[in-house]
Amino acid sequence: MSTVLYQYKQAWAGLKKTPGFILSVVISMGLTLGALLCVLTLANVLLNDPLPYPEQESLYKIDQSLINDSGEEWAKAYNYPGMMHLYKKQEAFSEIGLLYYDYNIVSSLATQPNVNTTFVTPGWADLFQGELVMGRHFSDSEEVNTHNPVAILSYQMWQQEFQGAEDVLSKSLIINDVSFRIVGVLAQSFVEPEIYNVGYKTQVWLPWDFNPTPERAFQAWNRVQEPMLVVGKLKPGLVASQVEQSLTTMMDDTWQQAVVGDEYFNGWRIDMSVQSLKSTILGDTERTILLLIAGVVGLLLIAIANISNLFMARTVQKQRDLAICASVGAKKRHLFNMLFAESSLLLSMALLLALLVAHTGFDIMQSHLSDVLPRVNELSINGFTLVSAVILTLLCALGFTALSNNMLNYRALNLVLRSSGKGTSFQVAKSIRQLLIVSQVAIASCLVFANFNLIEQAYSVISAPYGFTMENRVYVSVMTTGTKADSEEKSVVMSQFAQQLEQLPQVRGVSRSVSPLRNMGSRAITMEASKQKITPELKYIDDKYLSMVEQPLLYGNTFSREDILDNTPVVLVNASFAKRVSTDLQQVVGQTLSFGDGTIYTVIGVVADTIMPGTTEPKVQLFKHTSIRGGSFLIELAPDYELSREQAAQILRGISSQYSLFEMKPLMQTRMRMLFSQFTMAITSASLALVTFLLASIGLYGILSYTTQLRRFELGTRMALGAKRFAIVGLVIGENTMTVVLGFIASVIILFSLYIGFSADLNAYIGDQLILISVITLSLITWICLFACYWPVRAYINRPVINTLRE
Amino acid sequence: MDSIIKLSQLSKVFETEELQTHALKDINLTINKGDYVSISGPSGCGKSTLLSILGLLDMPTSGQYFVEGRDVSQLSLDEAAEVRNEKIGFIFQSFNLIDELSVFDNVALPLRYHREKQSDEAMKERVTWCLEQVGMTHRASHKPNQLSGGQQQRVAIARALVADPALLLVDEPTGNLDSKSGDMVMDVLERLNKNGTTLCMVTHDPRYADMARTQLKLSDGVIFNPANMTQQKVAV
Ligand SMILES: Nc1ncnc2c1ncn2[C@@H]1O[C@H](COP(=O)(O)OP(=O)(O)OP(=O)(O)O)[C@@H](O)[C@H]1O
Ligand SMILES: [Mg+2]
Repeated sequence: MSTVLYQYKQAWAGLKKTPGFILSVVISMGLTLGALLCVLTLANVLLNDPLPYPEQESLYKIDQSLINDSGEEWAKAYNYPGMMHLYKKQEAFSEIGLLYYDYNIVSSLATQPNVNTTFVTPGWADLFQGELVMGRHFSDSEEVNTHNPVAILSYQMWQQEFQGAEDVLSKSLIINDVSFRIVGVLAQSFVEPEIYNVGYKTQVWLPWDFNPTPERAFQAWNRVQEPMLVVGKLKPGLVASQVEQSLTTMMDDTWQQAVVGDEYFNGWRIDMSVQSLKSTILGDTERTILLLIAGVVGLLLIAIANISNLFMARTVQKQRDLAICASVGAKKRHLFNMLFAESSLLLSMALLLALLVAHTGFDIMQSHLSDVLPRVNELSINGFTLVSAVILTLLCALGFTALSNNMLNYRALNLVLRSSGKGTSFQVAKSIRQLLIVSQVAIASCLVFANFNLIEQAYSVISAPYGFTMENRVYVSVMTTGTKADSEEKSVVMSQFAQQLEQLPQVRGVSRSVSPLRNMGSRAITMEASKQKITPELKYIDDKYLSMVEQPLLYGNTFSREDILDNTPVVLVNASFAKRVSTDLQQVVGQTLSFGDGTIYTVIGVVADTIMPGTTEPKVQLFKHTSIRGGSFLIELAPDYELSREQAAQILRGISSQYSLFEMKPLMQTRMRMLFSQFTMAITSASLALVTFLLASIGLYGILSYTTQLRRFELGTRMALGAKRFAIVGLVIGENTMTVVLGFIASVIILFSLYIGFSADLNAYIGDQLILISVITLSLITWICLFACYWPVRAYINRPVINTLRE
Repeated sequence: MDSIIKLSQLSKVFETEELQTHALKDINLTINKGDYVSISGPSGCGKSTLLSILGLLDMPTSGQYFVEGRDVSQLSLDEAAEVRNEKIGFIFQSFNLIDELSVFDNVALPLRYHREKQSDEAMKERVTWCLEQVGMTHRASHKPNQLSGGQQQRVAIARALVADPALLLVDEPTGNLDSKSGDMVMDVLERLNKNGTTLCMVTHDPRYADMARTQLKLSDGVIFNPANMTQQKVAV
């Protein structure tokens, strides 16, 4: 024991003299190991860790798909009566929960906050069994059709809006004119399953009966409703694929009977599918995780190559010490232990830094990436992290020790002493140095190339032309808070609000339209002449919309003021829509279509396509005019002016107390949010590329400066014989050219084999841009190689030769 | 007589953190074509410093230095390299041959850095001629570490000759050699001088110093030359 302690003391005493060496090892290994631990823990949580719910492996999300007559999935969503049918009739699941995601204003609170409300059946509580701070879960008393107005709060809602008040159970919330008594508060530890949107946090849970589906939709088998999901717990012994079949039969039979006689759905059918909750939540992040791991492992390899070089150079320095130990009787094993004491000491320090880095990484992911990556809230330094950390550190320490140890020729050590150190051939072998250069160049090229591809892809999405203007445009929506106003009054209030906004000096115009960035539901239409069926996205705009967002009208006319006032049955379509109908887009103007409710609409114009931020393809769109009661407003501001929420709210309050501002956001801000994952990808890739670049530069510099030091006398002699500075730099560059080229060739081979192995995943990246990216990667890596060649010799060539020749 | 080298009032001061060393003090020196000059003196008196300034490996702190009438005291590093390549041949105490290159390539090296590139044949002819001068033609394809010390030094002399320099600078050529090899090297040098090569040699060995026509004694950075005492007095 004491010898071990002694060895570590000695190792520390030796290391203390070389703080640069300590810093290089601890920082390089600490940062890269930390990053690796971070992504490994994330991968472990996502791929291995069970979901934090009882019997989580039996939890499934149950989906309904509507398949059209040509066998395509027309929609993956439920219709309301179908969902209720499933809820009552299914027998394969022991528990089943319906979820309806919505957001509402809580009018009973002074701040009138917008909150995410989720309407659930009591099965939800049984499925997830979230721990409560106080109160109770929903139960039979909140079963469907009980209409019991109670609410459960999230921990965050309780803290934020009730300041964690102990008596919160005696309070109520008023939402949509209904007063909900608070009956429970969930614990902070409860992790909401991210089945709707990654990062979505419900603030208030309400009983299913209060979901906002209008009564007329209760029997609407012919439409689908978006934010409704079903989760269930499969009965033991049942197989998912069989359950899918029996559910499909059950649901399809019922649906077919319900829509019989509706010509539109001739030949359509319903398909049911179940997917384990875990893979639902994982979504398509598996690929992202694998990419991250590959990137970080690449970084770690570069760091290991760098540090190997440092360890070898250090072993050369220490040869005399080691020789003295050998001469006084240290055996090979002793020398190994000495070297291991040093490397394990260094890597333990790196380990501490790595854990710190991982911890910081978790914080960053939780605060910035919770909308992109699922389950990040479950991340923490856990047993898995610690065990991986120790294993990785130990492997690295053993690796570096073995490397140093292999360099020592035990018998030759004695010679070192006799030959007084001068002119010994004890140095890092040329082949090893070349191997290090080849591997650095190969890994760095691959990583930089791959990351540039990711950046390019993100950038092309970010910078894609949208076909409409968002700058200085603000979207505002208004909701009723008080007792339901009659529609006459509502249209007056909304018009007044629009007029008063328009009178503000900073406002250029107000259009009563839905935000161009809002995803609207699709509607099934039939072209009257051809009976062709199309399911465009339906948007509501007014007469000023097109000019306000600068979206070009290609043919025909836009809506007129009269169309809106008289509620004329006219629509606009976009170019993608028109292309479905006719190759001559102009022909579409004047055609008629119907929504299946008896009214015939005439197409009066064709507008240009637009692209939503974060996507690359235009949607098929149909535009109806807004109603005069609509509560959506698009405001154009003068450049560099702002409209505060308070100002808008004040105007609205001045008109009526029955309404409040629901949403107010500049379109550019919404766009940023929609592009968040692209930005995240671009930033992550850029930082990865930058770190790769730095590590590779440092590593190549380390190897080449060691080589240059070895050649100092040779270079000095050449200069004494009349070699100019340029010739010396050229010599060093020339001698490394082959090695670097080998590195490039290796990287091409690696990338090519990756492509062959994963061509399905990587096909999206194949394109013209690869040439440019290759050229940029090649020139950047060449550049750092040139730098690494030049920098170590600059000290020798920029001063009188005698300094280089002298010891 | 044509003077090849002329130093006037040349000084070299080394500045380190603790102290200033006046390695050379107001040196005045002329070396004429065909001369054989030896420089000797106690350790630390400035011999190597003087030789590296003569060889443009280092810069004087003050004073002037002329090579064939051209002032070379303030040349840039690359200009100095050019003058070194064309006018000066070096013979180091530790030979300074490059291990990876063959004897032939070592000798040819200065020609490769020459301003005017020569044809391969001309180069071969020249290198072979120089190797003949030192009696090493039969070893042209060997690597330096396959040769004895004396042989290595003779290759180094051939290398110093190859660019037909105006002056050969020699720093303790026999310092790393036994007396037999040393004598052989000195014979080669003497023969070269007889054939017209100008030599300037630093040596400890009084025997070898005596072989030179002009014998300079350095002491504490100052030259004592019995023949030039008056000139020195003026300088001091
Ligand atoms: N780079 C330097 N920095 C500081 N002082 C130096 C430097 N080079 C030489 N000196 C000093 O200048 C003086 C002359 O040194 P030099 O090497 O010329 O002596 P030398 O005559 O060649 O001695 P030796 O016979 O031992 O080779 C010495 O005092 C030495 O310490
Ligand atoms: Mg000396």
